[in-house]
Amino acid sequence: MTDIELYERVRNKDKQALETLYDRYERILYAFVMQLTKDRDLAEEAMQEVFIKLWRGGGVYDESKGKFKSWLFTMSRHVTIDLIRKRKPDLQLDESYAEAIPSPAPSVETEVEWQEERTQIETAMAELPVEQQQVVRLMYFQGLSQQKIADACGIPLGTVKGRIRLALKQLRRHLSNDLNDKEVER
Amino acid sequence: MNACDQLIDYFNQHLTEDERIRFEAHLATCQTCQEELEQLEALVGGVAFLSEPAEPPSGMKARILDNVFAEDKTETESKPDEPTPITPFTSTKKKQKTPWGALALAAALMLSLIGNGYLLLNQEEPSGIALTETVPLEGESEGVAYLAEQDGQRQLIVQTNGLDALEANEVYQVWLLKDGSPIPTGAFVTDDKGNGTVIYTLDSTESETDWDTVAVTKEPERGNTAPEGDIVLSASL
Repeated sequence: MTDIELYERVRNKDKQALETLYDRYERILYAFVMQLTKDRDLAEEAMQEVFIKLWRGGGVYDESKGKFKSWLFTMSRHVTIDLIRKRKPDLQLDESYAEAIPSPAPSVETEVEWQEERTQIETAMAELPVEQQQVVRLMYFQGLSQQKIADACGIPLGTVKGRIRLALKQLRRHLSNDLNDKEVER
Repeated sequence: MNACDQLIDYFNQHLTEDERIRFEAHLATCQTCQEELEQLEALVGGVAFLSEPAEPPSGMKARILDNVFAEDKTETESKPDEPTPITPFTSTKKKQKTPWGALALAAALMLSLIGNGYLLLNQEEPSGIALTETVPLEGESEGVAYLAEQDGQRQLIVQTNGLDALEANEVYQVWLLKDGSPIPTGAFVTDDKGNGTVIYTLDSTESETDWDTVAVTKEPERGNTAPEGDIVLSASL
């Protein structure tokens, strides 16, 4: 069953469908919210918020909105950042983390289910110049303000958006071929 | 700072309530920002896979699903998570204590409307919530009116900024008009920057009416059923 079919069932209060969706996304979503929160309790709380939202119908997805997965992750990211701001309003950029520009993590992943997607994005990221990789990570995972991104990268504020735009364009180009095809089959 | 320059801070939720509402009003009319936001969001599903693997805590699934379904039981009859109209405009004459609750609720709605950014770009297939019309308001300050539809119910959302400060019991009142005849569709008070938001759910008769104008007046008190004050903002629908 596709994600969208499951989502439709969840909309009709099918508990089994929500569980299936949960099983399908648990690991990657949890990894993602952990990446954002760096805190297991907060990550679990965020996961719960996400699934409550799905179950109660907060935020409505339909196919005209693009891929379900992007919608789900965007919604989850939003929920998680909200939680971080509430619980840890003073959470600051970890400077060392920012400077270390983690290159794509070596794939020691034991999961196979998401391996393909992971490989694709890692490959696409690796094609980017280092400064673009940095800006993508600072923005998506650290959720920094534009000013802090500028500070972390040592570039003028006005340059941040352009660099992000460029990075996204490159990423999209590298991803577009295989990832899009993949989505249709899922 | 140019409004478009706030996109990243909007995406990463760094704007204040005020700034966010203003940015969303801008977003509603800025094609470039809509496209860029869509692109930012479209890639979340990709970059998420760059996350370092993390083992979910044991028992998390049971805890979460229990809580999710328990949540559902306490919901009883009310429709889940649907934005409710915020303004008790009909009878209460008391001065509303603070607009912040209203703003937060409006925020929640606007999030589901445009926070995810897809909606504005995909208005042709409304399912769930959909904006059906976005109209800039003209007059003494800036504002935008949105007509939205959710599960067959129509909603009118008005956002303003830069309106004059109100005195004592005064409110800004929103009206829908057809052939010059108005019905009240929500009142609001503004913050110190003249920002205000109101969300009004049209009943079935109101939904079927082909309204031709939306207007905002300054009224001496809440609950007027016909306008006394002058029009400060208006637009044709």
